[in-house]
Amino acid sequence: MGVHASSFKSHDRNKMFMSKLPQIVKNGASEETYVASEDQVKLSLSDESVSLPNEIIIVVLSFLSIEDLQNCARTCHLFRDLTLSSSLWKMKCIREKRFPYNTSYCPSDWRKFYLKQPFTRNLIRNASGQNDFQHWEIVKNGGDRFIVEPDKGHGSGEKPPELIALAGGKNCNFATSYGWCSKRQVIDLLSEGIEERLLDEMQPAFKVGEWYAARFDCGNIYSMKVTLLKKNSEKEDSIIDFFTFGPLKTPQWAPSNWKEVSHIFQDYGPGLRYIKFEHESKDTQFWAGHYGAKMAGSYVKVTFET
Amino acid sequence: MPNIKLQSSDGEVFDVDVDVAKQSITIKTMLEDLGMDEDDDEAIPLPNVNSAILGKVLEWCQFHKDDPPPPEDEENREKRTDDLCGFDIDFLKVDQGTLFELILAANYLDIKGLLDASCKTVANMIKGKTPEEIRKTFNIKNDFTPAEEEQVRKENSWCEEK
Repeated sequence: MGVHASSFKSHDRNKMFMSKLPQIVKNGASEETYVASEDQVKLSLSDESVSLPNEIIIVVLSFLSIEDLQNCARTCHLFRDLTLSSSLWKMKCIREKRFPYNTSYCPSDWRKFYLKQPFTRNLIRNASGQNDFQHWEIVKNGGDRFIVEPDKGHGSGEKPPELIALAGGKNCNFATSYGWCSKRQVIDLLSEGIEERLLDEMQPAFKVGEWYAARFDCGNIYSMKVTLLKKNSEKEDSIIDFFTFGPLKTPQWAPSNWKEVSHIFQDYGPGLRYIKFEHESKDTQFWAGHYGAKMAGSYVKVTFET
Repeated sequence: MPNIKLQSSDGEVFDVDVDVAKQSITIKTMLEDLGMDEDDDEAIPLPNVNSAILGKVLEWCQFHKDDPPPPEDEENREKRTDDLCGFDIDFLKVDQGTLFELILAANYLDIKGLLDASCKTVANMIKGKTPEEIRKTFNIKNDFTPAEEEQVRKENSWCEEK
């Protein structure tokens, strides 16, 4: 905050106050005329005007939504500039918990980080098939092929609320058939908004996992694998670490409830750029239709709860 | 409870409970750093706050004197603008000049709770308004050329990843 010139006379005790003088402007008021910078927004009243310093306008702006900020940016140059200031977005990131406050690391572009919010969302897209097979690459599509079951998952138990929440409130899931059905999704961490320096130095922990279920009347074989990669490549030397679950054979007439598998990657060293998530299944009875495992709520998320 | 004296810019002296006044970090630091005694008869001068505003500020401090201290870090500060308590909503139903002066006083006196509440109140005046309505509300002059306006419209199409 700038210190403003003043004609104010005071005894010694006032000196420490002078270093904290706010930018108050009272045009026409005798003694207390402080200099305000030209670019401050002025509120005109009948016989005086009060102006807020930019630092305070930023605090005001920090309580606004993206939509309101966009409208502010269109009012004048000053507001446009303030809505682009890094201190505004840093304030929003930390207050809205999109970035942890107790770390010495920080993103180089707070606005981009706020908008991308890579630490507070699921980096897997279309986690349960709410957008059909969008963002997934189907590797094997045997039997009667992969399908999305729009509600509940035929022949399986009720989904827990946290699983439904992962699909934005939708109750859908993927279901597999009597030939191998496998698919994968590769997350490009840089384009999702986690820059190199954060990945290499901060090395945020990643919690990965998903839910799976069997039909009550049919067994299946299911597996999932998550791989941390330096490059988006199948080559051995690009693998940093991986987690596998299964292949797990669920017998016929086993419980059909939804179960979660999860793992946390941490201290994986520098160089991480991609995370590959893949899963596959088929039924054990060779039944026409979709009697293999069902999957939903796949996730890759940054976690600070380690 | 011991009292201290605060003197506004226009010379009015307020006799205030120390605990009420100490919600101002500026005053609290003053008392500690300068080793000022509570029974010190001399009034602390507040050259940037007039008596009308200081009276309001102290009314706020009086009401909030038993609030838990604000969190040290930003982490637990609320982002919502509709969470003002009933007292604050009524307290901040003032004309814009007074509201802005309260903000400046809260900033100068370093009273985080009042600064947040008053800034949220201003934010609420912006919420849901068009650029033209915001200009009207705050008497802002549109200093964009039509070309710049178009440019800002483009560069500001921020979208959030969900």
